[in-house]
Amino acid sequence: MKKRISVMFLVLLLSCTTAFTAGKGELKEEAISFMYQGIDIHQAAYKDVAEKFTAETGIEVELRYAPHDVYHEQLAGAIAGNDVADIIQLDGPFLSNLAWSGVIVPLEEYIDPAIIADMTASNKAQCTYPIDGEMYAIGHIDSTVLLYANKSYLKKIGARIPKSVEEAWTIEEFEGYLAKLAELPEVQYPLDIMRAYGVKSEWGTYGFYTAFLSNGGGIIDRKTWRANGMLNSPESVEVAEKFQTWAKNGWIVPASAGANLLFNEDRAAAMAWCGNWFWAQAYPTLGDDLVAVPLPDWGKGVKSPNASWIFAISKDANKELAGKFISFMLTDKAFLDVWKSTGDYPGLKSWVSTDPLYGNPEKMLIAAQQADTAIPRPPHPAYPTITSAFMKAYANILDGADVKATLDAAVEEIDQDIDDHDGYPPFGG
Amino acid sequence: MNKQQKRLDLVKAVILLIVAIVVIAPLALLFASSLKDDRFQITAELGSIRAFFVTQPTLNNFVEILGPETITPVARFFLNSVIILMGTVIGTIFVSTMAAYAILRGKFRFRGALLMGIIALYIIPAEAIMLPMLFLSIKLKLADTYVIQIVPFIASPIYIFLFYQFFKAVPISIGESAQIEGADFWRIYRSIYLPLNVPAVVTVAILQGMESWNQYLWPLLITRTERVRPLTVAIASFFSISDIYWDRLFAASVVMMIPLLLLYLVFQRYFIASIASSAVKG
Amino acid sequence: MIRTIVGSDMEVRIKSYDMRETVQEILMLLPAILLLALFIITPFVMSIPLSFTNEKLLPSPVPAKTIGLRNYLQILTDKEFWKALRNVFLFTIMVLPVQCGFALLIAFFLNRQKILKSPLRAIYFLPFVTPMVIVTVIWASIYQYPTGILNALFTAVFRSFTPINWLGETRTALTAIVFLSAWQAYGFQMVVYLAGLQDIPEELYEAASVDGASGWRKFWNVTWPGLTNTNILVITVTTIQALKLFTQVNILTHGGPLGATNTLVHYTYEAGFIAQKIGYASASSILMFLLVLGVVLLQRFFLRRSED
Repeated sequence: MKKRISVMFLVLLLSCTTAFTAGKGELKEEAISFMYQGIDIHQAAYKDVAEKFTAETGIEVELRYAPHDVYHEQLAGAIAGNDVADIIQLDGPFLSNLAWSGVIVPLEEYIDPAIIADMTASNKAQCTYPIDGEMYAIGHIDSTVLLYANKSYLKKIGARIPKSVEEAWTIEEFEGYLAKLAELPEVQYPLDIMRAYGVKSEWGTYGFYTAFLSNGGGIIDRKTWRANGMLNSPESVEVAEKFQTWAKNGWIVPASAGANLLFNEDRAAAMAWCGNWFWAQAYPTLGDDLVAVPLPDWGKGVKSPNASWIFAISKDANKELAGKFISFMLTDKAFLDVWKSTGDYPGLKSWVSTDPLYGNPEKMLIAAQQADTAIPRPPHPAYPTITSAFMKAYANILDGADVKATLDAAVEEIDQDIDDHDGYPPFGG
Repeated sequence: MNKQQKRLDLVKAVILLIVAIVVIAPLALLFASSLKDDRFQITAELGSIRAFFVTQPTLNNFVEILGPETITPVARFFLNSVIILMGTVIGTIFVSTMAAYAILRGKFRFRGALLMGIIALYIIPAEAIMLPMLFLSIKLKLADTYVIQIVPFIASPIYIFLFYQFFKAVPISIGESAQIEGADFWRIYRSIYLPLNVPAVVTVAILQGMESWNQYLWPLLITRTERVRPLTVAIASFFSISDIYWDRLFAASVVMMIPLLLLYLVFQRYFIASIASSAVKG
Repeated sequence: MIRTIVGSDMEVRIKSYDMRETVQEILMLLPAILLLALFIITPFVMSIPLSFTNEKLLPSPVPAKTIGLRNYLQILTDKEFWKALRNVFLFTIMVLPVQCGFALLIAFFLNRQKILKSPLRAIYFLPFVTPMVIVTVIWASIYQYPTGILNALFTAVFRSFTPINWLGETRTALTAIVFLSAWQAYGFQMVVYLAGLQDIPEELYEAASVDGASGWRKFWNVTWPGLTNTNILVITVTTIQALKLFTQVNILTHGGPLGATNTLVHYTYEAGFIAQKIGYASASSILMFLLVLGVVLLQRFFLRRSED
C-alpha cells in the first residue's frame, strides 16, 4: 500500500512538473508571434512562408492558429489578458474598433513601400483608420459579394444575363426571376443566401448590408453615427421585408440544408448570393453552367461590400521585426499564388491584372468590376456591437419576426452602446 | 426457470436487442461516415439508409489527420487531452478524497456549513465564471499552459460530495478500532477509507476523466497555440466558414471517442456496478 | 479521540496526537478549500461588482462607468431573457420524463432479464460515453433538412409527410434538443434505476401476486414507491444539469431560431463574448445563480417532504 501511494505521488509530481514546464515556451530574443485563421490550404501557406522567413533571417515565428468560427473569442481573450500576438489578423471592419482601443498601431513606416503602392483603392480603404487617415493594417486580399446562377435554369425561364455591373438586374426583375424559378420542377429553392454559415458569423452583416444601402437605407448614419432613422428607416424596412417574404415563400435555402445546393448532385438551388470564394467551390461541378451576376440594384445603384482579413501590428510588438515579416510574406510569390489558387479576390494591382479568374469575362470579371461599387462596412469602434445587433436582427427577420420591431430593437442596442461610450470620442454621435 | 419462462426471456432479449440497435444507430452513423473518404459522398449519403453502411471503407481520413502531412496535428491534440486528463483525474482523486474525509471525520467546527457551501458551489455553471477566470489566469501568468487546464477542475464540489457520501457509509467502528490501535487521522484515511472505497474512486476517476476529456469552452479561451490545446478544440477547426470537412470531422470524432470506448469496454462492469452502489447510498 | 485514559504521561502523548491530527485535518482540507476559493468563489465574487458596471471585454480609452442596477433592470425587461428562462424550464420539464422515463423503462425490462443481460446493459449505456461535441455533430446530420435521416425515415413511413426543419423551426427546435440530450444522458439514469430496482425486496412482489395484483398494479404499488429515493436523486441531478444547458445549443442552434432554444447560460455567453458586454453578462450569471439556487432549494423542500 505504502509503495503504491508513493508511486502515485511520484506520478502526480511528475505530471505536475511536466505540466508546469512543458506548457510554457519562452520566445527567443529574435522572435515574433503571429495569430491567424483560415482554411487548411491557407494555414499551410502561412506555415511555409514562416519557415522560409526563419530560414532566411533567423527570426523565429510563433504561429498561433485559431479556428475561424471562434476567432473573435480567442482574440478577445488575448486582448483582455494583455497577451496579444505581435502580428494579428483581423477582419477588415473591426479595424476601427481595435485602433480606437489602442490594440494596434499605425504600421506604414514598417512596411515595404512597394507593397503599399501596389494596393488597390478598396484595399487601402479597408486598412485605413478614418480618424487620423493612417494605415493600421495591410492586406493582400479583398472581397466582394455577388450572385451566382445556374445558366441552364436562367435560360429555361428566359432570364436576361447581365454582361457587366451596369447591366445589373433591378430588384423587380430579380424578384420576378425568383418567382419563375420557384415554378421549375427541378429547382427546390430559387435562392441560396448561405444561411448554413450560421447565425453567429459575420456573413449576416457582410452579405446583406449593401442591399439596404442600395435601396437608400443602411445600418447607421455615417455623419451623425446614429442607427436610429437609418436601420429602421422605411427604406431599410422595405429591404428586410422583401427578404422575409422570400423566406416565407419557401424560396430560400434553409440553414440546416447546407451550403452547396447550387452545385451539388441535385442542383436544388438555382442561384446563390455569396462571396467571391464561392466560385472555386461551385466551378468544379457546374463548369460552364456557372455564371457570375452582379448584385441586384434596389434603386440607388448596385452597392457591394468589400474587405477581408488583414494583418496588423499590436502595440507591444517588436514593430520592425513584425513589419519585416509582413513585408516578406506579402511579396513572396509562392504565398500569393496560394490565394490565387483558392480564387481569392485580389487586393494588389499587380495581381488583378494577371489573375486568370478575375480578369476573365467568362468567369469573375464582373466580381472584379464590383470593386468600384464597394462601400465598406461602418468603420466605427462600435462595429462589434453594430454587427452583432444587425446579424441577430437579420436572422430573426428571416425566421419571421416582426420587421419594424426587430430593427427597432437592433437600433436601440447600437445607439445604447454608442451612448455608453460617450460617442466614442473623437467619432462623436 | 421453466421452459415457458425461458422462451419469454428469449423473446424479451431479442426485442431489447433490436431496440438497442436502433438506439445506438447514430453511433454507427459516426463510425461508418469516418470510413468514407469523400466528404460530398458523406453528405449525400447522410440522407438515406446508406449513412449506416460503407461500401468502400478506407482509413484515408485517419491517415490525413494523424499523419505528418496534416495541417491540424490531431495526434498532438490527442496527446494534450491525455496529459490534461491524467493530471485532472489524479489531482481530483487526491484532493477530493482528502477533503471529503476531513469534512466527515474531522473536528473542525464548521464542517456542516462547509459541506453545504461546497454543494452550493455546484450550482454555478462554469460558463458563467469563465470570463473572470480568464482574467485571473492571465494575471497569474498561466495562460496557454497545461496547469491552467487541470488545476481549476481538481476541486470539484460534486465529487467531494460523492466521496463524502461513500465515506459516510463506512461503519465508524472500523475507524475507531484503528484509533485504539494508535492510527492517526491520516493513517485511517489512507489505510482504511481509501482501500475500502476503490469502487468509488474508480467511478469518480471515470466521471471526472470524461468531463476533462470533453472540456471545450475553457481550453478554447485559454489556449493560444497548438502546444497545449486539447482535441475538443481541434474538432472546431473542421467547421470551416464555407465548408464543413465532414470526412475529417467524423474521423477526428472517432479518434476522440476511441480511448473512451476502450476504457469503457475494460471497466464497464466495474463502473456500472459502482454507479449503482453510489446511487443506493446517495 | 480517546481521552478517558488518565495520567499526565498519556495526556501529553494524546495532546501532541491531537495537535498532529489537527494539522493533518487542516492539510487535507486545505487544497480543496484553496482551489475552490481561487477558481470558483473568487471569479464569482469578482463578477458581483462587475455586474454594476458597463464594462466591456476590450480595453477602451473611455473608462467603464458604474451604472447601478441598470444591467439587472435591462435583463429583467429583456424579452430574450424571459424566453431563455422559459426555455430552460420547458427543457427541464420535457427532459425529465423523456430521459428518466426511457431510462426507467429500459432498466425495468433489463432488471428481470436473464439472457444477454450484461451485453445488453453495456450496449444501452454506450451513448453516455459519447462526448457532447460529437453528439451534436451526429445529430446535426440526423436532423438535417430536408434530407436528413429523420426526415427520410418519416417520409418512408408516412407517405404524406413533408420534411420538417427540426432545428430551424421554432416549434420543433427545443424538442429536438431535448431528444438528443436525453439520448446522450439516459444511460446514467438507467444504471441508477437498475440499482434502485434491485434494492426492492422480492417478497413485496410475491405478496402482491398473492393478493392477485396484475403487472400494472404491482408496478404502481410496489415498484414506484420503492424507487422514491432513487427518483429523488435522479430528478435533482437531472434538473440542475438541465438548468445549465449550453453546449448543444451553442453548437447547433446558437440559441435560435428566434430564441427558441436560448438558455440562461447561452444568454450570458452571448452577452459576454459576442456582444462583449461583460458587466451585463456578470449580472446575468448572478441572476441565473440565484434562480437555480431557488429552484434547487424548492426541489429539496418538496422532495424531502415526500420522502417521509
